[in-house]
Amino acid sequence: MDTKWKKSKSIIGFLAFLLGVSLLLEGALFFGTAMTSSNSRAWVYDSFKSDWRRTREFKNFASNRLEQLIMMGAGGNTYRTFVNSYPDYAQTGVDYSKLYEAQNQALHKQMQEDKNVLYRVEKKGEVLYSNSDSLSPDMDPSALISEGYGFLLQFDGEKVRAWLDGEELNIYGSGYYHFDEREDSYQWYVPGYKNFTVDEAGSKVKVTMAVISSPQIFIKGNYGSTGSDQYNTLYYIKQGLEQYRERIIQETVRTGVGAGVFLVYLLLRKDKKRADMALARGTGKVWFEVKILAALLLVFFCLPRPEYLGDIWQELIYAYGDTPVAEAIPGDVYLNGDIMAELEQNGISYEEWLTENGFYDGYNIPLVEQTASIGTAVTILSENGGWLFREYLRELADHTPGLLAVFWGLYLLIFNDWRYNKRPWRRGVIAMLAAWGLDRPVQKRLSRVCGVTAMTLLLLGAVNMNLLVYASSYRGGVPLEAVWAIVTPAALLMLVCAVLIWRLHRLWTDFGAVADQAAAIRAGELERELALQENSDLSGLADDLNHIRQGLHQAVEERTRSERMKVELVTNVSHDLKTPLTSIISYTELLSQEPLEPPASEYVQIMGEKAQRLKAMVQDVFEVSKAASGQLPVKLERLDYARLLRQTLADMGQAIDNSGLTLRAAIPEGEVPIIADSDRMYRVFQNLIGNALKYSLPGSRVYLNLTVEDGQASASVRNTSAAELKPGADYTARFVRGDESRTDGGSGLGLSIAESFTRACGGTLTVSTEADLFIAVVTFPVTEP
Amino acid sequence: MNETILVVDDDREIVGAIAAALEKEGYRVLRAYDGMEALDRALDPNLRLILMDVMMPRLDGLSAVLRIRERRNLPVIVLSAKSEESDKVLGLSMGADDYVTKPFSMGELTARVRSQLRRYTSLGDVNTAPAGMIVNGRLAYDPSNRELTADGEPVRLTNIETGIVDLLMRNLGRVFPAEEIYRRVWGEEAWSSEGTVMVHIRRIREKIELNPREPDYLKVVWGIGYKMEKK
Repeated sequence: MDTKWKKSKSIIGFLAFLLGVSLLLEGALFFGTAMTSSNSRAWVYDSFKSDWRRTREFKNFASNRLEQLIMMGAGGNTYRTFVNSYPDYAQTGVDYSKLYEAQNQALHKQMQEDKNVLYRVEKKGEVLYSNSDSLSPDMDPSALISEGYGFLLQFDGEKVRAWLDGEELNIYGSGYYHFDEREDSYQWYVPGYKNFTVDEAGSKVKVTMAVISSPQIFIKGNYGSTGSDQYNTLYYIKQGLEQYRERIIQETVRTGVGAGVFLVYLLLRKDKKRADMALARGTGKVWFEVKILAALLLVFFCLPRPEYLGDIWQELIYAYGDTPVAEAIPGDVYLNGDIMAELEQNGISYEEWLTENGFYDGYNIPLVEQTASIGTAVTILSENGGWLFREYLRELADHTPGLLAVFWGLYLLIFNDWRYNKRPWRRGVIAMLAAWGLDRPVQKRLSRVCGVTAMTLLLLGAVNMNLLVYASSYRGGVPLEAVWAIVTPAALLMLVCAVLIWRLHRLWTDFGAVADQAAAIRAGELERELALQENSDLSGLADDLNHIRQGLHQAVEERTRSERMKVELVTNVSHDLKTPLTSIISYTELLSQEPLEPPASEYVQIMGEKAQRLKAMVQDVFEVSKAASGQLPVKLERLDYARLLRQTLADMGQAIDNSGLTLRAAIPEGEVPIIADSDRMYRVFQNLIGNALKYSLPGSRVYLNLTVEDGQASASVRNTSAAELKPGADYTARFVRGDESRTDGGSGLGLSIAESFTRACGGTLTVSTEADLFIAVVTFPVTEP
Repeated sequence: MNETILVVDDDREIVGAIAAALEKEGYRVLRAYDGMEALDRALDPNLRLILMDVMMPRLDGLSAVLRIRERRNLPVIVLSAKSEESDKVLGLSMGADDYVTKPFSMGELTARVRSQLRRYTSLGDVNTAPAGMIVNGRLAYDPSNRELTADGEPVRLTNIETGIVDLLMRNLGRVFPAEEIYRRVWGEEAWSSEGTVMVHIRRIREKIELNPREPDYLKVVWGIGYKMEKK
């Protein structure tokens, strides 16, 4: 397939994954938080109501406003100021009803400007508060529809009736008020239920209230008092519901698009994996610690910090504080000054009161300060974890961009990185300090120096970051320019250092590669080419090394080839020699069977003997050339050196007897185990003893000794040469003989063959001379018995 | 006798020498100088054995052996200048019955010819040997009356030699150190048994081996002991 298309498929796949997951995540957060709490479920439900006046929000608003209006009519404490809860204070003689009335008047003054809600409050037939003349308790429910007020509500002192666009609403349902969250539409919180009745004062009040169908914005400039005031609650309720609906639709569309894009990713997931791997290759080059740090910073700065959770936490700790950790001193408990005064009046000491009560107006405040213990924390979490989590999720849903940044940051820096890069911590400051996987001291030293530098860099970076954060949060105090003047050169310095470390890192890895190559060449591996990047500091050295390797490789190949050619030549020659030799031997044999007169019969006998020698020589030449080129097949097995020598002596017994020499053998009785090729080693000693018999001074003695010393078994053959030995001659070389003039005897290959065979079996043969004493020693390592 | 033998070699002198030696022994000799000619000559119904060189023009010896073997089951002795173990194994696995390396002695060659002929013509199938007989290549040993035959001919052995043969033939392929042979055959502990045993081994070889200097059956495993090679 076209690589370009392949590449773009990878990119498309990755982008589809990025976009799809982002959208899905956002949608999941939004709907997850919107659907999990009953409150927000109601919002969702409300926002999709065809008429905003049939929503719970509207009911709440209308109910609250009605309650306020009734209270205003009945002269109640609309602001619900706290003095009301203390009956004692009511006895101080202050007439609070006047205060309340003043408050209600003020409230009316504000409310009447809001023409979204028209109201009329009357008590015993007298109109107390009203912002519209067109309202009356017995008016036609559809009278105001034409003016834009579709909702009308009447309170007759006992019950409530309401009309929406002229149609009466069923307010009370079953007749009882009950908090039932499962009901999709909430009940009206208005009096008139069998379990929600009106008091004496309220029963004298009649309220008429009309609500506009499309709320407007009303602003009143109260310049004499508070300045311009706005009365737009209703407008914002409607607006909010509409906006919420829009948002839901928007989110649904986005999630749908996200799902579609995610599908594209699923189709291209194999291509996306390539993109992942490419990214991982990129992130793999970044220091592990930097990645971790960046991830932490992302989490810290981009996620909403649940500081509010701390407050909740505190509250919870108080709520669950049943295991006091420390005694509280009295000053820890804050008491209202009024209560203090009251206590003083009644002659009760503060401490006494504390020990007796420990309660403050129904709020359970323990008298001992609580500190959170782990046990408490666990209890708190197990009982409240659910809503805390939901709370935090909602917080997250409001910070979607930050959350996505964190998600993708973690995906790229941690998840994807760890998935495709084996052991990512192997590249970083700690890795450099630990010098993992580096065996050479130079590499370790370089790595550690870089590690220390990198650590300093990171610390410097942290200081810089702190400086910046500090400076930006106290902008007034510290001139930001000055901070930048410090931070910028520091950042540049860091950059330079990072690049230097990068180069050094390359240097020591390349050094390792070069050293490995040198070691490989030394070990004889000449095939591998060393490839460093072209701009590497060591590329010159690598080139040189490659040339050396190439030269060696060629030389070795040439040598192997010439060696092989030599062996082939010798093999061919020996084969070619054998054919005529066969004829010579055969006819000589036939001739010897003919009746011949001496000296002809004698001549034939000599011919036969020489032909046999020629045959032996041809075979020897063949074998020695094979052995010398390392092509001699050997069958190594465990055998007894002593027995080998005894057998050889027994085999050659007749030859020894015929030679007129005395052979003195000193071979240990016990086993001397060695690893060698049985047949080849027989040839070695056959040659050595044969040589001794052939070249010894007549009547002299030949010594064969086997000794074991330091795990080495040495068999030596010593004889006194009949001819004078030339000192310093290499007798194991091919065609070298003790006596140049002698033409009888062997091929001159005996010792050479013996040496080659011994070496092929893993032993050593050394030949030395001392005056006319000829010594051959064959040494093998003794194996474990 | 007058059995017919085919001698094949591209060297006419060698063929001539072998023919002379064999004719002297009383055989009828056919000559061929390459593989193709050998195929023609091999059609002779009186043919009993083939001596075949390996490296020849037109058709090499081993291929010729394969082609002849498709038609007739004749004993074949391969003659070759290649003396290595691997060459011998190749030759024998291609269907040769014996392998003689050049240069050879006429005595050995005629002995091998005789051996092969006896096994394939006089004796017939070796598998018809009576029950209880230990058959190993050219050798057959009857433990009940301690009698050894080579190529169907009884071998005359001394008491000690019979003891050694009995031990080794009953344990084909197993290697015995000289002391053990001595202890079991002579029935007493040995002090320097190597020489004694070796002398007897050599004598047995002269009676059973075709070339006692390069034995096929009774072998020395140097440094370990002696064995009867399993064929």
